[in-house]
Amino acid sequence: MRYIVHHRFHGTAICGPVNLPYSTACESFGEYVMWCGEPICAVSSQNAKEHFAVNDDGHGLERGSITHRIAFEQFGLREQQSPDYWERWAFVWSDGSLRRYKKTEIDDFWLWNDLFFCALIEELRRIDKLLDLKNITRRKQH
Amino acid sequence: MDSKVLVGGAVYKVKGGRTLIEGTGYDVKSGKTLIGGTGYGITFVDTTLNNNDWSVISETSSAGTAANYWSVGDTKAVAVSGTVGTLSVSGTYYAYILGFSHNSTYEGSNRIHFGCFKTAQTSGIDVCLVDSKYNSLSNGGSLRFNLNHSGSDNSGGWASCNLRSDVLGSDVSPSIPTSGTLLAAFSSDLRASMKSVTKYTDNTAGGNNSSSYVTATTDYLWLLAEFEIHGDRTYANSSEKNKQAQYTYYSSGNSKIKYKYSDTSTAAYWWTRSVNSRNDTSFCLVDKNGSYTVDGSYYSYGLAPAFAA
Repeated sequence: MRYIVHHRFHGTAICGPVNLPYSTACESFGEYVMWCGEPICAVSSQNAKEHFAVNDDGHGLERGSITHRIAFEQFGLREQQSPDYWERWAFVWSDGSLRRYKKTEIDDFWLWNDLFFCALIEELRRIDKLLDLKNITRRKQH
Repeated sequence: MDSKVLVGGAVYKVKGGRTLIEGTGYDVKSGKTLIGGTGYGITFVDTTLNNNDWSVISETSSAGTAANYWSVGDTKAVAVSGTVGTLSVSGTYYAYILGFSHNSTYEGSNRIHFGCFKTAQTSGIDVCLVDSKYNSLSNGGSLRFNLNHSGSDNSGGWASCNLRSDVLGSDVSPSIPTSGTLLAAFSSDLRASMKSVTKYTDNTAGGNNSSSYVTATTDYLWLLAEFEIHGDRTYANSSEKNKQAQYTYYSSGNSKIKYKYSDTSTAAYWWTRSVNSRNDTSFCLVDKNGSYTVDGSYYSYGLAPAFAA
């Protein structure tokens, strides 16, 4: 499986220190993301989720951009308290087809599972549109 | 974490293995090798956190590579056996990853911070320990789950509170835990893998929101601060957040609601280590809805401490 770096990975990988810039091509072998034949991290690890995206369809950079924005970018209390923010989350909750991407541990909170991070790009675009976090981010910056 | 093997006089690092036995491939997860007459164990890291011994988790953490194998929220079984304050506890609970190298500038690098506890390796319920005095006051000196066992003030904050030393045992090395504490009730293999962190908290208290009140303590088994949970401040000293960070576990959207370990369908209030900066009697709590609140230091509420490996 092909992977691509969507947020620079500068740190200690399994094989040692690395500095992998945006758009570096990688691949997976077994359960590890590899670069130049060296193991970087497990495909299910925190670093894989934050820095690497599946790229078999050539949409890895966009996939990583969307999953990172949705799963890891922070929103302050002001944004979270806006009715708009929760209204958009309500769209996600009410869409039964998205349940496959929700961790099942907790009923009342929506946490994205591993399947979300390698979902079809069309699915991710749809989720991104539902949540519209780009616009919330933009408002936050003003 | 490096394992090495000698081939033709040269030392090679062993990074993993796979072997074929009667047509079936197996992962090689451990082994032994002889270098210069000395035998060395070969240990590989399993990407399922719970399949690793605490020693492997600790070594991986020290090498700064833990986030390459595991993810925030992953769980590891913890055997708890002993008396904690006045509560007898015996069972297996699951610690979960709150963050990797959390706030390392202030707290120390290459550490995995774990929260306590969930009820199962997967799909577990977030629980806190509660004693028989839960939700009632107790200031007669008994080692209840209140921060102040004998008085009604918050003087000295986290550093000086009774609970920190005589119920959690956070202030001493895990190799010589104080009897009757949660630290002493942890298994020896876990205690051998625990690392100290430097936590910044209002350690003066008394109702004055002074920045100079925020000082460092060295802790092994601490309560979370208001800002570390919520990523914002309501009652805590407004300067605590300058040297704290919200845990990734919570910033990722995980629930702040905890249930009684003895009744997992009932949500509970649970203590933080932050004093209420607005008065001289109370500390911050997380309420049954996962929100901010405060109450008197002599009330018994849930304990959901954290530790590092």
